[in-house]
Amino acid sequence: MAELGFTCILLGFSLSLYGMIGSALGAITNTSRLIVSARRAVYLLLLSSTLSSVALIYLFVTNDFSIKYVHDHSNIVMDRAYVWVAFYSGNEGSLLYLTFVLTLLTSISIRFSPSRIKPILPWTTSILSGVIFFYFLVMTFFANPFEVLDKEVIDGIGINPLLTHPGMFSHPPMLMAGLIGITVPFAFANGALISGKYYDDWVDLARISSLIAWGILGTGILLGAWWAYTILGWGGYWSWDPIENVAIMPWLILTAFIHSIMVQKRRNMFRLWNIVLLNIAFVLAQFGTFINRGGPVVSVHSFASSTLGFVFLSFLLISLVFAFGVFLWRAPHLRSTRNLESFLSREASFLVNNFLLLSITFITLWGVIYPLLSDVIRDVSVTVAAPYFNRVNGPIFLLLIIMMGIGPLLPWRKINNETLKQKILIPVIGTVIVSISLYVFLGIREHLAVLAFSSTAFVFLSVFSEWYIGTRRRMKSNRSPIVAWWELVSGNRPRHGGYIVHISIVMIGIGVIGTNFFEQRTDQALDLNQSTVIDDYRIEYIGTEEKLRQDRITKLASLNVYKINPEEYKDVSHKGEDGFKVSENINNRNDKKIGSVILRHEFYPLMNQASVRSGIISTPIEDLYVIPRDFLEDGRIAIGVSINPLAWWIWASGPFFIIGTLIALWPHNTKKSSVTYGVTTIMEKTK
Amino acid sequence: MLSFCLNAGCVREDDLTLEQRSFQLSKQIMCPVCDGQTIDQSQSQLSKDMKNTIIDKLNKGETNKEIRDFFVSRYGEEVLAAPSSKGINLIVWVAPIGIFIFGLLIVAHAYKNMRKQPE
Repeated sequence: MAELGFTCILLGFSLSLYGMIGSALGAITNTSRLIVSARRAVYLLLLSSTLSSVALIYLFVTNDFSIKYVHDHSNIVMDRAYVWVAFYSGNEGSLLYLTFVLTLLTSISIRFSPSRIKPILPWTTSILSGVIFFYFLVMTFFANPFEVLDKEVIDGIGINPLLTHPGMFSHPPMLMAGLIGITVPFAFANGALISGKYYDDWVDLARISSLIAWGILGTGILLGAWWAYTILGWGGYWSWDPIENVAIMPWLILTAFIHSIMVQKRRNMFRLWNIVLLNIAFVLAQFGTFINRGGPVVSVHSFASSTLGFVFLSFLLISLVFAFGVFLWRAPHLRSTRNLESFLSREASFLVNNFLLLSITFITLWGVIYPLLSDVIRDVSVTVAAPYFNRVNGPIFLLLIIMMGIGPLLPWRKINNETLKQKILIPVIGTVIVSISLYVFLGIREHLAVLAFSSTAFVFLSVFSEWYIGTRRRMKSNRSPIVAWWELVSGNRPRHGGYIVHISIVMIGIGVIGTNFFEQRTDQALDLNQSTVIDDYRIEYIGTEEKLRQDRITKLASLNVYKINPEEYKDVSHKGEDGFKVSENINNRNDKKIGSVILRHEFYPLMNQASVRSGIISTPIEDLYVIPRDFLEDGRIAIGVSINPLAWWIWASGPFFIIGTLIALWPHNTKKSSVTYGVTTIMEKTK
Repeated sequence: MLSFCLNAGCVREDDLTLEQRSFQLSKQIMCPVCDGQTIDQSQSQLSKDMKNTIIDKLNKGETNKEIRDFFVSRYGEEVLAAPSSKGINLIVWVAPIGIFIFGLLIVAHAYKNMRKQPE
C-alpha cells in the first residue's frame, strides 16, 4: 500500500509539472491539443492525490507502524475514529491533505467553468498545476508521508492528545482547505492577466471561489476558537497566537475582496485593486504555511512544524515575485473607466471597509514579524501577544463595526438627502434608545462598552430597517411578511446573504465585548464539600475520582452549581473580592441547584502531556466556566472560576455565518438577474 | 471595562484587589517553557509557580511594574506578552499608527483620483 501511495505521489509530481508547462506552452503556441491534454492531466492529479490519501488512511486503519508517519501519529489504543484526524495531524500527512483539497478544487473549477472564460483557462490551469506541483515536489523530496521506518516496532507513539476532540474532525481540515482554496481565485485573476484578456469574465468565478474559500476558512477559524474555549481550558477563545494570526490575515483580506469585487461587478471600478487583494491573500496564505511549518515562531499550534522552513520560504518568495511581477507587467491595461460620484455611496463605503480591513491585517502582520526582526537584528527575543493586538486592533475593529452599520444604508453611486433621511431614521433612533437603556436600565457605566454595544445595535438595526422597508414594499399584494422577506432576499442574494453574515459578525462582536469588558474571575483551592461563591453562583466541590487507562491517567472532579442570592452571603463575603470561599456548615440559605459540572484532567505519561476539560454551564446571558487548575496532594482541588458574559453568542453565530455565506453563494437565476456587468474597458475601446 | 482595563492596564492599581491584579499580571507574563502561552493560559508547573510568585509579591506590597521587572530580569524581555514602550521597542507601538495614517493617505489619494477622472 505504501508503494502505491508513493507511486501516486511521483505520478502527481510528473503530471503537475506537465500540466504547468504544457498548459502554458499550449497557450503561447495556441496548440489546442496540448491545452486539452494538459487539462486532462489535471483530472489525473485528482486521481493520484485521492489514491495516495486512501493509501495513507488504509495504513492507519491497518496499524502499519512500519510507516514512519503512521508510527509517529497513531498507536493501538487510539480510537479508530481518530484515524481521520491522525491523517492530517503532522507535516507530511497535512501536505497530502492540502494537495488532495487543491486538486479537488482545481478539477471542479476547471470542469465547471463557463465557456466564455475559455481564453484565460490555459493560464489558470498552468498556475493551479504549478502550485500543486510545489506540494508534490515537497512530498517527493522532503516530506514523504510513506517513508518506511528503519527499525522494527510493534506500536506507534500515538496522536497528540490535544487533538483528540470532536472539534478536530472539522477545525484543521476546514482551516487548511480555506487557506489552500485561495489559490483558485488567485489563479483565475492571474490567468486573466497573463492571457491579456482584460475584460471582467473572471470576476464571477473569482467571487464565487473566493467566497467558498472565505466561508470555509471563517468556519474553520470559528471552530478553532470553539475548540480552544471548550478544551484548552483557559477560558479564552482567541489569543492572537502567531498561527491564529496567519489564518485570520488572509481571511480579512478575502473579506475586503468579497466586498470590493462587488464594486467591480456593479460599477466596473477597483479593477486593479481587486487583483492586488487576491495577490496579497495568496501570498499571506503562503506566509502562513511558512510560519506554520517553518517553525520560526513559537506557537501553541506547533502540530505540523518541520525543518522545511527554507522550502516554504522559497515558495513564499516565488509567489510574491510571480504575483506582483505579473501585476506590474499588466497593470497599465487595467484602468477603471468609471469614477466615484460621491463619498456617500456604497462604493466609497467599501473603500473605507477595505482600508480598515487592510490596516488590521498589516498591523497584525507587523506584530507577527516584529519578534523575528528583533531576534535577527538586535539578538534580543521579545514576545508580541494578546495584550498588544487587543490594544492596537481593538479600536479599528470598532470602526469596522460602525462601518458595517453605515454601508448598507448607502446606495450605489450617490444618495440624495431625502433617501438618506428616510433610511437613517430607524437605525439612529434605535441606537440612541439602546445606548440610553444600557446606561439607565442596565446601569453600565463604562462608556467604551456602551459605545461598542451601541455600534453592534446600529449594525443590527440598519440591516433590520433595510429588511423592514423592503418587505413592506413587497407586502402590498397581500403576501405574508415571510414570503415577502424571502422574495426580497432572493432578489439580491449576494447583498442579503451578506447582511445575514453581518448579523453573525455582530453576534461575535457582542460576545467579544461581553467577555472582554465584564469578565469576573476567582481562583480558589477547595476542600471536599467546600464552596466558592462568585457573583450569584455557588460552586460546591462534592467528589473526585481517578481512572487509569492504557495511555493516560484521568482525574475527575464533580462540582454542583447553585444559583444564590448574594445578599444572603453578605456576612461571609470579603469586601471587594470577586469570589470567596464558604464552608459547608453555613449552608442554610435559599440556594437553587442549577446543574453540575465534571472537570477532567488527563495526563499522558508517554508523551509527557496534559490536557484538561473545563466545566461550562452556558446560557445566552453568561457562561459559568470552571477550570481544573490542580489536583493537590492534600485532597483539595485548585479551580479557576470565571463568568464570561455573552460568550454563548460567539458560538451561536456559526449557523448564521454559514447560512448567510450559502445564500450569497447560491447562483442567481440569470433571467431575473438585476445584476449588470460593466465590461467595456479602455482596452476594448482602443482595440 | 474592568477586565479590558485589566488587560490594557488603564486602571490605577490601588483600585483593584490583589486577586484582580494577579489575573492582570498573569495575562501579561508569558510561560517561559510553553509555546506561546501566557501563564494565565498555561497548565505547566512553572506557570503555577510563577502565579504563586506573583501572589507572594503582591502580598508583600510590590507594584505591578516591580513584579514585571523581576520576571524580565529572570527570564529576559520575552517573558512580557507585549514589549514595553521604552527604548527601541517603542517602534512596535508606533508602527500601527503609522500604518493606519499611511492607509488613510492612500484612501484620500485614491478618492481624489477617482473623483477627478472624466466620465
